Amino acid sequence: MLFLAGCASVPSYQKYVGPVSASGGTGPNRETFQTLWEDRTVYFGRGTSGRGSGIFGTGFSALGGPGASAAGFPLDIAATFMDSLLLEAGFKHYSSLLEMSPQEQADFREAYQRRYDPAHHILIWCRLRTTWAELHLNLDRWNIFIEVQDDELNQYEPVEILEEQQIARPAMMEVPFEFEPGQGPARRQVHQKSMMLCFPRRDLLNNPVLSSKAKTLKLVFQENTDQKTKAEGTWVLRK
Amino acid sequence: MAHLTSRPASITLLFWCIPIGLLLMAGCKTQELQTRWSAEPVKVDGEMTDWPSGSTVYFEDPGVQLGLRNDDQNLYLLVRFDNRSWARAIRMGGLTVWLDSSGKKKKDFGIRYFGGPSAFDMQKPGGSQGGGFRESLSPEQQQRLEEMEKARADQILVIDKKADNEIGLPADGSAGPAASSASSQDAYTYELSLPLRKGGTSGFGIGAEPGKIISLGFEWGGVSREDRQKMMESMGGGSPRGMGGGPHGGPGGGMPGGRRSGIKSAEKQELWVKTRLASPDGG
Repeated sequence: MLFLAGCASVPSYQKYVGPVSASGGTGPNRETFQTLWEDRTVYFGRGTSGRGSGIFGTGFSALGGPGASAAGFPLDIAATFMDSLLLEAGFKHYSSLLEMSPQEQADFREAYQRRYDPAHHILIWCRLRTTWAELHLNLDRWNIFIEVQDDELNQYEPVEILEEQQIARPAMMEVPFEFEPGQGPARRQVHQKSMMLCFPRRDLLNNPVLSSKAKTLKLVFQENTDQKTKAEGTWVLRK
Repeated sequence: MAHLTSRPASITLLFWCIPIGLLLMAGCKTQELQTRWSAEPVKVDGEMTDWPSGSTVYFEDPGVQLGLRNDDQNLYLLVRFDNRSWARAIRMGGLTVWLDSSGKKKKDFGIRYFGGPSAFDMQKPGGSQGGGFRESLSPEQQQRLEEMEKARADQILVIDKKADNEIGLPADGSAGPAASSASSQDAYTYELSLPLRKGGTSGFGIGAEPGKIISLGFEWGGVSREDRQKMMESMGGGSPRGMGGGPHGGPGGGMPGGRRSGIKSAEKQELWVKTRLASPDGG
């Protein structure tokens, strides 16, 4: 598999990320918020392997059904690893955009830290989409966890999932390779949901989950009722 | 010893000119597109609701979805793509639709639309409020963000090269032509309505009637030096609030702090289609 490090515009289920500094640290801000965002976002799940994203490129194929096979995975997932560099760029971006006073900036940071607690959580922002039934967005259907590979492989479940209240309005998408007789490409309604996944920053023995030995961080979505229905995106952690 | 002969310059020139010429011709060829009759006026809102399946065609090169419909009053156009840099380019330099009622490819008369997602919208990661930052803003700040999102420079410029004239019109249709745009799920949709007959308060009209063949040239990207300067001003905090004026005085979006990195101008795109305006009898 060709690694797509640095190809921010190319959707990939695997990205190189780094360096990953400790939460709250401030790194160089040469890169824009947008660039960092795209660098830290992996795309996986339905129809995203080896294809572009977007209305024409996303492979919302109608083959299979839930749990049938890898082709039957119902979700299209974009996951963003909210490391300290991205957080810092985001704070600066919004502070500057809204021309916040120093006090407003402090309040903004404090509100974010109070809500998501990045000092104690590994944060992953997730956007889920499906052209199938909306019930596939129900998180009760899914076993969501991360796998960290260092000297050994460890799995961790989120300690908290904060769903975004503002739900995007449903949109219509054309489904490549599926045609309605005499009508051209079929259109399906797309349902979407966004959320913050909060994973523990330290394990039960108080060891850092993402230690300096960590090589990869993998986010896994696995259906509860059928473990074969599974998709994963990986960040390769650069030292 | 090898004997080298030099090829005559004229042959070398011909050798390169023919394929280059063919390439250029292929890139600018006019494609035929069917215009569908619209029994009801199309609501110009940037949404796909008035464009049923089969009413649009996807052009692989350059990667854009086009739709044409008309009634006896207006020609309705739909342009849709998923290229963020194109949307940014249209916001800055406009989407130009050249109209040639002779069915050729003359760029004498057209309109240019500057709408679309603002620079602020373009900065929203993934096209949505990602990362939880918005949720951490105060209600007043969230409202300001929403107001900034709404402040779009929706304006139409009518270009009449023969008369050496350019007139700015509101895009709400009050002066004849109308345009709107919407972005959703990483797709950018532009919808326009152009009066068929000249008249109205602006005098704007294609000058064609149902059944007649016309050519339409869609052009965007390839930011000019002047537009690039405007882009830099709008991105660089030219106004007191750092949300500098967009093209032609519109309230453009802006990026804070004069940050200039990450601005990439899209390459110029041009697509010509020839169509016969539909008649109510299907002719």
